[in-house]
Amino acid sequence: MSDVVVRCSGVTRTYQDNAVPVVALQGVDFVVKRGEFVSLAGPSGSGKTTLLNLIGGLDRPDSGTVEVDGVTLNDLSESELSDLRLHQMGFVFQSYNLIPVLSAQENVEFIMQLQGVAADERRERASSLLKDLGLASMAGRRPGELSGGQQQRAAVARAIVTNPVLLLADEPSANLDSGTTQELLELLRTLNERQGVTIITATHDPMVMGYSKRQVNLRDGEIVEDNSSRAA
Amino acid sequence: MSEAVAELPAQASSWSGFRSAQIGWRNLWRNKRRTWLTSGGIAFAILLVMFSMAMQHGQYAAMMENATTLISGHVQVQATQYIDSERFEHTIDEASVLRRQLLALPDVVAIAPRVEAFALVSSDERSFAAQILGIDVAAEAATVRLLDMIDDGRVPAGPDEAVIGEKLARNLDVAVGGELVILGAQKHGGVAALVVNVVGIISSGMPDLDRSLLLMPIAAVQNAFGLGDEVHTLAIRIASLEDSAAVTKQLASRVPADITVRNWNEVLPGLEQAIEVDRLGGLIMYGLIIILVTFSVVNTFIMLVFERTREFGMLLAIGMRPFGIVGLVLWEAFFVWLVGAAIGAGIAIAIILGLADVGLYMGEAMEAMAAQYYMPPRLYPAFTTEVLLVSPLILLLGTQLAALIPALRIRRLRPVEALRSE
Amino acid sequence: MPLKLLLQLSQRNLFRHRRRNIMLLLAICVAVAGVTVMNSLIRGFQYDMQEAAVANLTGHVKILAPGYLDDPNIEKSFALAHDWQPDLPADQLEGWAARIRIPAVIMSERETRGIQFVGIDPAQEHISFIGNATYTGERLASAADRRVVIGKELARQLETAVGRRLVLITQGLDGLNREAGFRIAGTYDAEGTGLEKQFVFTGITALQAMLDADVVTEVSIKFASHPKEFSIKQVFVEFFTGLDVLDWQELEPQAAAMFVFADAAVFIWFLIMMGALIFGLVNTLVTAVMERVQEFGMLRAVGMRPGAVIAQVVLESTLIMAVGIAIGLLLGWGFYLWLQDGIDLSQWAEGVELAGMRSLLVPRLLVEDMVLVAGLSLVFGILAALYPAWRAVKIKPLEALRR
Repeated sequence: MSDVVVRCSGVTRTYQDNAVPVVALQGVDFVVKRGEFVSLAGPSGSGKTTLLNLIGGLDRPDSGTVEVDGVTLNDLSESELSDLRLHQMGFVFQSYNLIPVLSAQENVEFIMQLQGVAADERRERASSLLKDLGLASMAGRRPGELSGGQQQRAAVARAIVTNPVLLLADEPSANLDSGTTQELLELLRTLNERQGVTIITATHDPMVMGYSKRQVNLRDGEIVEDNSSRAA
Repeated sequence: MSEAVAELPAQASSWSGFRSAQIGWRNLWRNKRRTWLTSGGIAFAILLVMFSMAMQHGQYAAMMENATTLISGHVQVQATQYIDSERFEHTIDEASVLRRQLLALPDVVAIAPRVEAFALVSSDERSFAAQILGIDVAAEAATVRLLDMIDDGRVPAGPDEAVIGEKLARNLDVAVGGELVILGAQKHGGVAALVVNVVGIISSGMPDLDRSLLLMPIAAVQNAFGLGDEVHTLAIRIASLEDSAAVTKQLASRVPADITVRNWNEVLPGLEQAIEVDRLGGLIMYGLIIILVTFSVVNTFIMLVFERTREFGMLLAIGMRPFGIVGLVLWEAFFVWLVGAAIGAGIAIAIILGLADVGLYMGEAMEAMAAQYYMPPRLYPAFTTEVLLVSPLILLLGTQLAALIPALRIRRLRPVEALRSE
Repeated sequence: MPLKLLLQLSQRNLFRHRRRNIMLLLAICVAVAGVTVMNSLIRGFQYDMQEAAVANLTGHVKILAPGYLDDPNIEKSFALAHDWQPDLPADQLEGWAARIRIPAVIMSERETRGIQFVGIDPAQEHISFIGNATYTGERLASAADRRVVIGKELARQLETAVGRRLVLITQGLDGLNREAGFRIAGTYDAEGTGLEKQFVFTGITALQAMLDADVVTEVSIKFASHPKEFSIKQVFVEFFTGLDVLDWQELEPQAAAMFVFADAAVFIWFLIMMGALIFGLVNTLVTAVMERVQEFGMLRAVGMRPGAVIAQVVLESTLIMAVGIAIGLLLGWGFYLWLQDGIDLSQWAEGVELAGMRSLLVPRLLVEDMVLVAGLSLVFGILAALYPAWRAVKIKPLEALRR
């Protein structure tokens, strides 16, 4: 098993914005090793979200390759990408994106259901994780009945309950106050340190950057600074 | 926030219905897909209802015109007793005088005098009962199409010439040029006897007529059956079938007391009833279509009000009255209707105008059925104000109601809650 | 993708927007119930008209001498063995009747008319209208009855009554006219003047005696099963060599054309109702997709396959359709039960007679029609979901992250 989880080589991505081409990423080379906690930073339009999306298989590069866990994403079909996301990755979104018609417990079970995990095991894993995250008493509530912090914790639970190789979080703290942001970051740090989950976040929240072990700064589609010193 | 909000005037006093309508119109295009789908439903309903109604009107008009000009005429004049009993002796006396008087009336185009008798008709070997119809050939041709249906031979001219139904001819085993003997009873009990030559065969497609009809010049029949200047029926063609009820009334005031004037719908009650039953079936269809489309409009406005709750909260917050907002929604409903009605009515009118000259061929299978209903094989849709107005107006009412029901929820909206809602 | 999960999501989403989905459900119910009731009325009309055509001395199959239809005449007749029986299992046969039917002149003291003179065996005529008509006076007692029964309307026109005498003139087998007096046993009421003016009945052996001819002009056969299903005509074609064997469609082409037209009308109705419904259905489904852009994006981001997204939308449509169809069919069935005694059209009696109908329209609900409506409506539900499903699949997972 290779030590490298993500390898981006010469990745370029250009968008059409009202017929004006906008370069989001320009020949980016980027490697993430197993067990890292990386934050991608930079101002809006720097390309950090684009890079995160390319790593997550949500978007495709115009040129260059993206490899996740030894698999080159460029060669995969939409369905194969779906399966890769389902089995290898966990996502935490800025706006939680829990399914409004399902309870917290059901939301956490949801991806396991997609994976075809047996009902008993699903219930067991979801319950124990919710308990670990302090949401045991909220398990039966629907997202509309939870606070922002609780929703985001449930969303993290949904993302990690399947033991993904890679946890991707796009602006996870954008809708949270500083108290709940801190709780969330403690949770991510614990996951990273205790269970060795590889985490990549895109953020411009200094608090998030502070918790990560490696900070990569982007500007105008290029990596301008890669501070992996704190990883040591 | 939305474009519509930017349109809001700063001062309530400058608020006007026009402004409201303008915002309604702009709001309409915020969700184009929904507008097209809703207006599409309205267009579908109006197109279908308008076109079917035009076809129905065209069909009914054709049936009535066809049926009345076949034999019966638009209006009939008969002795009251003859209508009740159909007995030979109940005739109209001094018929030529009455006919002349009635012909002088402005709406009357032509009057065909007729004598009707049942008699035994024999060829060399066979005998059958026939209905003898004594006619004035020129008047008959000006009144109805009966003589056009002679498809072999010619019209009877001399007193010893007759035209007979196609099936009767076959039953009697005679053709054009054959000789027939007619035996019947005179008005006052004597024997009416005639020898005639067959000069034509008539085939109407109506079994009753083809099996039993025998046409002869009226004078010959009057002579043989002992009638003077008497007829059983005056069949009348008038200028326009639409005026037949009024003309019937007018005629009724000019005839003696023992004579009855009947409009076509009394002479052919089955026809009007068939039309009524058909109209009823059509009404059920129109009703269901309109209800279904109205449901879809209700749904559109439920969704619309739900989605704009936050925006409505904002409008309330800045001081707009709930009914002002309801008004905005109603204007929007009006425009949804307007777009749908314009498209539906536009297409319907284009189709109707397109078919007005060529007509719509109903197919071979329909032709046999059509004949039974006095329908031509080709139908021409007809415009009337009813066709043009009924379906659009009902749907206008429907869309306004459909929008009003969900819109009334706005009255119960609390600005703060609404602003917080998603 | 577990179906159970999809079902759970669909069902919860439907309940989430209760008001609009109830409206949609109502619309589906109205459409399905409307189609069901109209179908039952159209079928009622169709079968009534067909039965009337068959009962009109036609039968499902009729055997005639060649040339009789062109020239109905006693010369166009055939001999029938007295012990002849149709060679059919009893359960396939409702009955059969041998008749003489010839044109004749009828005269009362006052009036003369042309009619169809029909010699019948009353015991066999339960298959035709005359066996089931209501009578004033008496019916014919047997095949040997020397009296006549005439229509109510004909009696009025001839100004005669039960018990009086009539003279009938018709052509014998030798080509010469026979004239005979008959006493009126009774008058029949055939619900409409068309038949009453046309047919005069007497015992068949009495008529044979009058004509000096031991023959019949027609044998009419009625089957027990529905006429669509029989292929038994061939049995008679083989048995009656040299004679014409015609089925009711050939004998009553107008009724047969109407029958086919009614089949088509059922479909036209269905299509119109579904057409009116589909706009609202698509509209609601698209909205349900568009307000869940983020949710669908997230589902795709976390690894739900495109096919599963399509399945999800189609399933929602199918689910609400299925419930609407079930309630709609029940409603339609309820209406049908309510109308089961028939709709009285007698105020338009002469109009409906033009269409070959009786004045009581009894609806007829066919199980196969209900199954067809249910099946086709589901297909429509799936078709209506295709565009919204395509919209849902087009949603990029990115869109879930953007907000």
